[in-house]
Amino acid sequence: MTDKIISSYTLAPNNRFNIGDRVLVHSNSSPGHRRTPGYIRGRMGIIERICGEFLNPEELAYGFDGLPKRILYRVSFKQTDIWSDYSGAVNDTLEIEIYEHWLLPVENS
Amino acid sequence: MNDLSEKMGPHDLGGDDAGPIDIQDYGMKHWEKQSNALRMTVTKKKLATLDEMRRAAEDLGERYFELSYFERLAEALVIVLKEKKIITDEELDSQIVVVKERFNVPIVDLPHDHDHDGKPIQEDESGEGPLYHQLVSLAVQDLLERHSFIDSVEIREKIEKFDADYPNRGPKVVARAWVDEEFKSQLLKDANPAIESMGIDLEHAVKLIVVENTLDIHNIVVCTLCSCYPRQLMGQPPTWYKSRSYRSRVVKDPRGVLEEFGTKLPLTMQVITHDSNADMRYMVLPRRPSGTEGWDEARLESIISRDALVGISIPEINTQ
Repeated sequence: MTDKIISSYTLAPNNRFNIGDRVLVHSNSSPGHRRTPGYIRGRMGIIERICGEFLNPEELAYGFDGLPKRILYRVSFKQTDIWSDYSGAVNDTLEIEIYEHWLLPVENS
Repeated sequence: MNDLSEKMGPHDLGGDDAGPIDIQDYGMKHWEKQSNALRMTVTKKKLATLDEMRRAAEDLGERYFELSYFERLAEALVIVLKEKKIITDEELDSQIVVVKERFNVPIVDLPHDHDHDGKPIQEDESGEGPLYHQLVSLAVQDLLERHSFIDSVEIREKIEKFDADYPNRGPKVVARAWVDEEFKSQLLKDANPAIESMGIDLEHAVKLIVVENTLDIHNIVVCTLCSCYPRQLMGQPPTWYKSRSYRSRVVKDPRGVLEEFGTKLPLTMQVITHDSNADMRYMVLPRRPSGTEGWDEARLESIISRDALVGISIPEINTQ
């Protein structure tokens, strides 16, 4: 077995968001390889956990080194905030990973 | 409110309307296992990144859904290896001819009404000739081996792990969590070290999150953009996991999809859908069924199906 215990999570230096923060997903439609699906763009959610920092897939996809690394969050969304015609329970949620540069802060009202 | 959404391309399926899901798992042909093992070896050796192959597949445009999953994979791998000047068109074309000849069946005293007009007969496991993409995938392996980037033993060993090792791991982890509360809390808090503490080597290849089903919460996992799946923990995803219908529909109608698989959940229960779209991979920790009190881990493992680890079914004990 490996000598070093490797966590599922890595450090996230200078993270812009914390667990519980409300965030808005960018809704831009710039071309290129992106890991932010169309259906979640422009939606508002809450930071569920911080996964750590990862090489940027938007750069890796074109043969570059993926640096600087990007902080990855898991964001929780109410299904009824994603789909106006959602037919399940009102407390159903969807959780998805979003990189920091795709997230905007939302002032708590 | 859905008008905000803009699809990136044919692969960006979440929320699309799509037909019923074919819930049967058709398994994998040998060439698909080879193609999968080749992809994983190529990324492990850093000859190309998974992101490059995804991008190449996405750029196939309308052809994305004309090709099967492994056909796309074979084409994407060729595109990226050519971009990186690791292989050339010329050597690939000539190697495809060489590979095709390996499937020739010698003509020995065939009856006159069955002599295939004197043409060579080609045969593979299906009894038909090999598919074009199968030839491509085998030819790429040959070229990478010729250039000393990989070795065919690695590919064979990877295929064997997928057949005999990886699929058994998830149920072992779940059974341990069902009998050991301390292990379970570690697993939910930080899955990788908990799983590796059982002697399971995750090969530094996957970052895992385990989500727990309770009386009040049911979790279900999908990857809408491709088919991300914790392969080192659960083996190959079932056919339907990679299907257009599953990927499109489960983010928008998880309860409807669950019902197609025979799992009906009350509205009092919260359904959490996990879109496995980036660097983390997910396993569902199902709820231990009642009636299993006193069972040992081996017996518990026997009731844990792969579908339950994706959250599409719930483990049950056969009471007959």
